[in-house]
Amino acid sequence: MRGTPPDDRSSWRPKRPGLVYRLMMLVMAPLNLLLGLSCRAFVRLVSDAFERPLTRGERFRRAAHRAMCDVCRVHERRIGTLREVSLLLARSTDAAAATGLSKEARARLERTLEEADVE
Amino acid sequence: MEEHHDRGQLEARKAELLDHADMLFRYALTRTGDRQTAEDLVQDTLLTALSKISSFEGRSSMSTWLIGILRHKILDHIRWRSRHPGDLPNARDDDSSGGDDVWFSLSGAWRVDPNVGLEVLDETPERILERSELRIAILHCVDGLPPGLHRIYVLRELEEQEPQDVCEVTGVTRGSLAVLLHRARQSLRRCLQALWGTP
Repeated sequence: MRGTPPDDRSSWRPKRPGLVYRLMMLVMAPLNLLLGLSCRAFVRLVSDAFERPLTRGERFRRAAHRAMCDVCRVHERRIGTLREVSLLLARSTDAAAATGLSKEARARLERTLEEADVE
Repeated sequence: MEEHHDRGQLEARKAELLDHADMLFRYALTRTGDRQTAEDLVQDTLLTALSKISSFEGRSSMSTWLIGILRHKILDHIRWRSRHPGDLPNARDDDSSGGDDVWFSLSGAWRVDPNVGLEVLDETPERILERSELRIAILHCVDGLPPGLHRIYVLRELEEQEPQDVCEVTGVTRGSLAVLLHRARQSLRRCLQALWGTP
């Protein structure tokens, strides 16, 4: 929609996590699920923390999971960066951020303003 | 003579307003994801500004004043769209049970690596924004969110509205809002992975 559109990457398929993660989860995942410390629960807590203060129990679970899971630790950091980037991008209205009005739209706008009368 | 002078002043004001059109368009496009809607909002904004130009006292810059008007227009637009039942998001359909199954195993472990392809996010936000292809990709993925999620994401993450205000504008509950924002953030992440994760 703006500038050069990114390529269509519909053929992209996600990769499986690394072997270390898979081996660790083979052992830990059932226990994590039982204790509410799964990766799925962690990711949800990361998102919720942007919206509301987490309870003490939630903060503990988040910290415990963060300490043992490399994949989620990196994911949390990158989701935070992505959020900051979106915010900065939204605040930016400079010419580099996106394209401007098309010629036709600008011409329409000029005509509308020309015809508009002010009391 | 005086009338001629007033006419000249009015024309100068119109030209001044038009100078801000591209900036307003970019602002609106980032938030609506739709060129036609963004153009309409810019036109409405400039017409409103023209009708109130005498009340503009120059305490803030003209661009700040115009963005203030445009933000109201965008909120009104989102409020109106949210009353459209066709594309309202439904938190009950959310991934905590259904959609995430592709990404998580039954025990809640990742089935796929959520980080591959996103190495660029290890840089600082400022460095990332220096690269136009990354900016374009992010905007592309924000635009690609389903309409209901897009509105909620825009209000909360781009317009920086408080959660209760987002709920008021869109008519979703606080509980649903958290679920929907989680879904939007993960959708964005997956879209960027698809763009950046291909060699």
